[in-house]
Amino acid sequence: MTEDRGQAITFEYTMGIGIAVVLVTGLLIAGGGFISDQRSSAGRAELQVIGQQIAADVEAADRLIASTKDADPTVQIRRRLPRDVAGGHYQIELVEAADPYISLASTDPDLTVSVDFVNHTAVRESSIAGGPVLIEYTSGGRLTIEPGDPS
Amino acid sequence: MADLDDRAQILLITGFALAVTFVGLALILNSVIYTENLATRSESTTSQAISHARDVEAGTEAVIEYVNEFNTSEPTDYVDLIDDFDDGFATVTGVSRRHQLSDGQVIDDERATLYRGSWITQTNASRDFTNVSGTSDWSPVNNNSDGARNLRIFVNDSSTLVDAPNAFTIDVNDTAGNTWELSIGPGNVTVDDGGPTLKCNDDGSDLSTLSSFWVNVSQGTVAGHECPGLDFAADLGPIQAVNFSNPGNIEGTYRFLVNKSEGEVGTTGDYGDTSGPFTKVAIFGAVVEVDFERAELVYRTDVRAIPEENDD
Repeated sequence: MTEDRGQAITFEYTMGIGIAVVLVTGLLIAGGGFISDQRSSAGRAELQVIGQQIAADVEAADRLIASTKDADPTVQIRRRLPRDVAGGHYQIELVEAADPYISLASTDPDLTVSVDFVNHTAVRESSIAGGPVLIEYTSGGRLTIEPGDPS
Repeated sequence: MADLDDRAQILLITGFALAVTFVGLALILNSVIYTENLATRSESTTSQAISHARDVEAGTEAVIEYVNEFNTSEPTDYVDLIDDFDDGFATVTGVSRRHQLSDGQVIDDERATLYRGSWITQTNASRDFTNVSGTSDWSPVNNNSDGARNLRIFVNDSSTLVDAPNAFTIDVNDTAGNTWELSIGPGNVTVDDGGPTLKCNDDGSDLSTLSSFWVNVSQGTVAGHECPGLDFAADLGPIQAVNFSNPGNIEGTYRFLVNKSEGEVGTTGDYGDTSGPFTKVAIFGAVVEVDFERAELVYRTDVRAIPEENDD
């Protein structure tokens, strides 16, 4: 009886290890994939929110400029934004085009989000890293975004 | 025989690894929720800045009108007049500053420019509208002004009025050559601005029944009744010249405010003492530098405060 069990025990042990490895691997792969998807989704949602906030500030600056007949007013709007999104850094770009928009891109996770806005004042192409931002009306008569004061 | 105590360790380690991963995911989702929550709290500060600029403009215009109308000190030069204006302006900005500070805004408004103007006036109601020398057609303002307003005329004796083409006429023009004419004849006040001629009557009745009446051009009234369409130099740019034609065919008083320093208005010999047409110091308008700041906003702009300029 003991001789039979010795062979069965080895085979059972091997089977047990194999099944456990398959199970563990499957769980880790599924869980990792789920985490990755959720991280991308969270990152996209956060970039959307940040983009909408910047667009609102650009439109607010545009309204202030349009409300005055002064050709060279001073308009500066500051906004404190998070430096990271879903654990990764991101870049903010004000795109100068016939229909300007704001583009936010992160590398980890790899995401790109665009946010449109309505403007009467021309904008200047500018790109900064995520964090505190300053929306300013320059002496050249254009709106631009620049890094804000970190304090 | 296998050691039953060892078989569950792999599952335990896997479970621990998954738990740590899910905790990390919870932290990421938490930052997203925090960001979205903060986004819903955003306030628009532009309306406060814009309304402050409009308040300063309106307050400054009110100070200018008050200083021009109620000169109890009767200043003969601009120094006292400007002092009066500065006192009034300081009061306006002081009230605004205290109000804005309570909401967390800091303002620092200053007078940047002051436009020195002149009242062109005749207070002798028994006189016609000729100049001091008695010249028939003359120009109270000689192509060198940059704006005029507050025109009002009092006809003291309607029997002195004459029908067109010899009716008394004021015509003004801007730098582009556009013209606006006002004629006062017996029983009629007409305006010709290049479009259809406007006629003002006292409620449809004949003005000639009145021995005297007011023509308040800037207010748009004749004999106290509204004349729709009567608007001093409507659709013209800043008035450059003011001319009187047939000034001998009217008797009464008049006045208007012009954007030119006293002494630079008209030609030598046009004005004199209060027995005829004369000039008086006034403030035509001002440019104010508005400075509105709060933690996340800086807004500075120059605002033109000229009464009636933006009143449509």
